[in-house]
Amino acid sequence: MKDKRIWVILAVLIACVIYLVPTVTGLEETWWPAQKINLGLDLQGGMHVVLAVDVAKAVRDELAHDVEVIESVMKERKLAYESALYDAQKNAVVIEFADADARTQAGAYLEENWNDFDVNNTGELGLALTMKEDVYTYIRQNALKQATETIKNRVDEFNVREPEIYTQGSDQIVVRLPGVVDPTRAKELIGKTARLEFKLVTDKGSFAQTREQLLAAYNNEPPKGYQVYKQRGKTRDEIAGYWLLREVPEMTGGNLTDARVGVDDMQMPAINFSFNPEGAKRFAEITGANINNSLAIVLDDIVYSAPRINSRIFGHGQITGNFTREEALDLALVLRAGALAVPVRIDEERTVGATLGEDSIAKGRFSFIVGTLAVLIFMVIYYRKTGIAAITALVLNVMMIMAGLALFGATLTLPGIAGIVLTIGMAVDANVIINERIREELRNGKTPISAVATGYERATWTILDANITTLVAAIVLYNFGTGPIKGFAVTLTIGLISSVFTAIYVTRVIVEVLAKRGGSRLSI
Amino acid sequence: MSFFEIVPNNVNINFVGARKVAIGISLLAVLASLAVIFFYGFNWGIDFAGGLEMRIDLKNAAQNATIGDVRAAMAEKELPPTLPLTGVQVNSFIIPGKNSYTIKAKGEENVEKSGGESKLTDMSAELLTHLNKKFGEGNVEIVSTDMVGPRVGATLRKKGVLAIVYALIGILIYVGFRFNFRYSPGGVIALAHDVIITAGVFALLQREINLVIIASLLTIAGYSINDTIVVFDRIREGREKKYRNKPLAEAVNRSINETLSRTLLTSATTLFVVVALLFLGGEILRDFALALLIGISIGTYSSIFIASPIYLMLEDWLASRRKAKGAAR
Repeated sequence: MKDKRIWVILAVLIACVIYLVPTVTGLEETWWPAQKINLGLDLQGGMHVVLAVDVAKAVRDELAHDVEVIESVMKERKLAYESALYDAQKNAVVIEFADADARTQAGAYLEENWNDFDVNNTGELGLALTMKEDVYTYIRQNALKQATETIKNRVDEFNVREPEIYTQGSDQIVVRLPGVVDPTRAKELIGKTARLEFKLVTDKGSFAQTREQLLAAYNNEPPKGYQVYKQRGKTRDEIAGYWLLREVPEMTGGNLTDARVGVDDMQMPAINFSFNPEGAKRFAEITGANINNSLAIVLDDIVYSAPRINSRIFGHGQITGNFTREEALDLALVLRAGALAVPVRIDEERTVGATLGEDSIAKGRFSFIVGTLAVLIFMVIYYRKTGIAAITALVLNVMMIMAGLALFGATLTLPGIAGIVLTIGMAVDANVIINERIREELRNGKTPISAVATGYERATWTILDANITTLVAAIVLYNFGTGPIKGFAVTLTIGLISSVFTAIYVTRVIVEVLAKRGGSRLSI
Repeated sequence: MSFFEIVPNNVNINFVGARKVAIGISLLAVLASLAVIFFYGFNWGIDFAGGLEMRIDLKNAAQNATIGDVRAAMAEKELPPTLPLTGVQVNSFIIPGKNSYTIKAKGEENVEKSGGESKLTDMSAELLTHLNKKFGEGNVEIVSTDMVGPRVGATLRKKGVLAIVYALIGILIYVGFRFNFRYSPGGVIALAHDVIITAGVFALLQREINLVIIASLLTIAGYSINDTIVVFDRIREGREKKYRNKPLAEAVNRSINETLSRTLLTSATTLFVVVALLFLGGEILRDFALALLIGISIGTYSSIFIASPIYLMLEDWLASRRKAKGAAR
């Protein structure tokens, strides 16, 4: 074998085989240099969810908190302010003062100590504190980061093989869970806010069967600082009554260290939780000071239970509430993994069951085989022995595409399979261009050997130009496509590159041999 | 030496001579397509229109349920208040040996509920609960679910349009650099011609436009330009060598004829696989293959009758303008 091109082709062939072994044989060894081809969610089943994080709420929460702090500062410094309110639209806190003097003093103080805000006079006696752009951006980014972390923690406990969780844009989180069988439960786990709050039932705190009864004394509007909460019934959809409770909780679940499923006095599933030292101290203080009062345990704005405090409680607590075992398990999981600071909602959901995936693979494979056979038969009939060169190229081409997918860790999707099938049809194009050129040269009276040489030379740039322009479309598709479409763009791109290589390089070796052996004739 | 040929090697059909007729027909077809798109509008799939699409498999006790049963279960007055779907369509979905259906509620109004509330209200879970009530718990299996919210729909629409525009610009630039910017208009017009007519046929048939169809339109764009480039390459070579002293019209026409067998052969092999996909690839790929079938057929025509003749006309026009300028001096 004097021709060094044969060595190159052999090397490519061996590399292809190495990369294809895991996919073909199902080998899953770490010592083997290659992995199986990744199947897209549309082929192996699974779910893809895009969550929108309510980052605006993070800003609102921060402003509301600032109002509280400002009020206490004003009181502390005995500055005569009338009101302090936040304006979510303008990302500002507006304080109204009784006199100009107080405003000047407060303005000077805030200017000095509140670096997160621009302080400006507004109206006659008002002061506007506008959140600085970088602070605003930071809060939003941070909310997204925290939500992503929390969801990662939850998914880690959910026991999914190779989950993918990443942020997208300024407020979205993409969660991809391959092979998930119960999408409803998965969404519940991912999206649950899991905000645990403890609220004392004191002052105006009360319970009633209906909302109307509850609010009868207050003109049907909850009094300032209070809110109506539902009491959970025997199942998650049942409402057993309504509570009037303070909006600001005595404590939140932020200090939880653990949450596990246990049983309550009635042997029903319940959730036992424990606090970190700081939380335990605070919980002991609250319960100690409120013996004989009730403490409502509120999860995501639903009251689960409101037990009477019999004694000071240290470190531990229990949530009861007619749970099923599975529900208790999931709740314990989300409490353990941490609450979402701001709510999320589903912007996009794509779920594919395993059955559909298998059916898609079977149909994709079948149409691939039929299409390929049709092309092969046609090439042999049309170009005879030279057609065999095209066939060799085609087979190597398919191997290179599959190996390429394994090599780059790209994902094979259903449109990706269509891309491979399409590449088969288009890949022979290069061979057609070359063969037609060679025929022309033969008609002009050239010998087979020189016809082959000229044919390949002349056809090379044509083939490159034609394929590079298609490549432009494929690259655009890759950049703008999502999920399955990206998979299509990837197979198309690999296919274009490999078909140029096989057509220009590989077939030439074979056709040259045919030309040499044939003497004055070339079977083309 | 003799070869097996579908196109004789000495063929010389006067394609260029038919350019006025061909361009006239194509112009009509493009205008008609645009009119259809404008007046009928596209049947946007949920990727772009937003909405909910669920494929279900009815099994066990519900195995013999018919499409009528599913339609009845999804009738508007049967739906609970937690599931305010409108314009629900039910179709059968073919998976061998299964009793499967596609339930589709297109339009952003169908998912706005899940978008508007701060809590994670889950339309697909609500739909499953409803179906379980109708067909019995455990008798309904979800084959697939697609839910696209208003924001995502808008983003995807924008991305889809941008993708096609950027692909066109990219191709225009590459052709301009590799050849000459005088070739670009012919290539891009032929390409736009193929894409617009394919889209027009889809609008006329009211086939759904989804992400996969956008991908197929871009593939058509790629295929069309590929086809055209091969002819342009021939024209350029011919002008430099063989037909240097011949009129441009003849050089162009000869080049089209010389590449004719390649143009037809490649279309044939590509159509083989497209037809295989169309009939054997399953329902999800059917419209994808249909778009390619239309686009590649038209693309073959346009690379013969449209792209090169437009290049010729542009050169003629430039020449006449030069002449007019020269005369004016």
